[in-house]
Amino acid sequence: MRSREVIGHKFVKITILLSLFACGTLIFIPFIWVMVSSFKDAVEIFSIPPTLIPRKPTLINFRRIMHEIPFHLFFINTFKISILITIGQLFTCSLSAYAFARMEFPGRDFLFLLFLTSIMLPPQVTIIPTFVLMRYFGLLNTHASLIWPALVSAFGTFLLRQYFLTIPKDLEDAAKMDGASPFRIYYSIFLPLSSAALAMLAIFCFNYFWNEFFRPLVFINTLRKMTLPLGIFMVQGRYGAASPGLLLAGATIAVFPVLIIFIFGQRYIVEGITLTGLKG
Amino acid sequence: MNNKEGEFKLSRAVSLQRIRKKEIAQAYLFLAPTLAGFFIFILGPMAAAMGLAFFDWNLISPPTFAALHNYYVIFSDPRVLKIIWNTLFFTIVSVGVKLVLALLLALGVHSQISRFSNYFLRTTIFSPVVISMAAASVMLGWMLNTDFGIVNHFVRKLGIMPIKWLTSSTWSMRSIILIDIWKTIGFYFIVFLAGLHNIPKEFYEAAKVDGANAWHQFWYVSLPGLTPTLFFLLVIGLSSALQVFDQAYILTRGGPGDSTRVLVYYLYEHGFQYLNMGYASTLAVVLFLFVLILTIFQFRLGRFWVFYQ
Repeated sequence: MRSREVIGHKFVKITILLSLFACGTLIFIPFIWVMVSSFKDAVEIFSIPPTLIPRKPTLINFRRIMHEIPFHLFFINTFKISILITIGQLFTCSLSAYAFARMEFPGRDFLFLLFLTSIMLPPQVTIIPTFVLMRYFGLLNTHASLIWPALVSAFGTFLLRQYFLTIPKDLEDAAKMDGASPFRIYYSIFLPLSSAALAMLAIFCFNYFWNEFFRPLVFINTLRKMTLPLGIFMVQGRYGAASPGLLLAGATIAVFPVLIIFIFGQRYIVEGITLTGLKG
Repeated sequence: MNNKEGEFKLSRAVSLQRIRKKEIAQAYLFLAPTLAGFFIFILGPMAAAMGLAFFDWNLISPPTFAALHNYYVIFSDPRVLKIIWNTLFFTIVSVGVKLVLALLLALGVHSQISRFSNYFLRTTIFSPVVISMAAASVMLGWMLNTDFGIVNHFVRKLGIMPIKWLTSSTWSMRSIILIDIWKTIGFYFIVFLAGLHNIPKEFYEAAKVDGANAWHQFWYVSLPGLTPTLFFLLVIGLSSALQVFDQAYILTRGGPGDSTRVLVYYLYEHGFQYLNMGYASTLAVVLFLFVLILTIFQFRLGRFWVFYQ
């Protein structure tokens, strides 16, 4: 009787495990399938039924796409935009977070509430006036039009403020006794102690702007200034129907570096989300 | 003597006030970069969008005052109502499915002790989250291709006619939702996993002592413990689902017909293809109101069903 129950329990456990692995594999299959397909030549890619493994693996798609589309520029552009925004946000958010967490000034609670509310503001809501503004300053079709408006973040300010609140007051009291200025306290106590939160914000921010599609679509219109997501979209319009192999090679080039970084840094990213998920 | 003391007190008060003023100035110095950006790029454009909604403007000739006409057009045009319905349908179905599936996955993974399976499942389920929606659309778009896609290859094997995933108005919205689920379910999953991790083990042990079976444990311990997580996901998930755009633009261009035309897509069309800046701003305000009302509503309702330990 007892052993039967144990066997039943084990059976349930194994069934759950197997179905979980099936789900995980199913979710990962598109990555494999796209990569495999990108090695097929122009004929095989259209074969019905599709071949599961390329009969004659070829690099022609990669060679052609790199030759015809400036993918290296997409990488450089996307990297430049994302890294500048990330550095800017770390700077502005940590400064304002310190003010909200540790300084007293009139209007603090009102301003903080205003910030909190704007976290929920969809970025598309402000796109029309921002477009008009950029047009007025002659910044359309420049990377500056993507970078400047993204240098501040209500979300980042909120995240860091919550983290700063957990830092014990004794530390800064000692520093204050020694006559340290607020900037000194911010710089030598708060920043080093919150490196985990700063790293998390940096990862989120970088990933968000690396993947951003809507604003680049609105602001950028020359090929050489495009970012990766916009570039992929452009390749889809140009080659999607006639030579999908090229499109898939492009997708592989764009996706796999990010995927590999994720697989190796998985623990930190997941922990970061855990931390924000709890605090949010 | 008395006079001197008074003088001392006064100068102390003056210097304290000076210190206080200096502190306030310093605080605003810390805030300056954020405030400047916030007013120029968030609050300013927000107010401008609300103002522009009362005008007709094509960027070329000067704006003309239209009062509430743009709002009137939005709520009397059956096409717009269809678009709002599409957006709401997308939001409700995609968020609903993701919540249920991600919770099941998280419960399953949480009950597994093996480190390898934990690692494998977290990596595979979360990996679509880190890539761009543009790349995800292109990838799944190819798999869902009617003639050459791998999905229809298996559909044919089942003896069913190939399905026009992206090119029929019956299936296009479902496919757009499917892509969204694939791309973002990992985020829900990880947040649920964190929520489960956060429930004290003693609660389960106490329940076991009281003779609770697996279902009871889920219903009386896990679920109440997960309500803050669920609340967080609902607030974030619903508001970001209302902003759906990328995959509808890349794969179906809102079509066929209007079957996948959503609010942000319509806003984009009017703003940047027809240059109806006023009308596009009105759509932006409507989107904002949707998100705002939904969020306020959720925070109000949340008081009744979210348990904080």
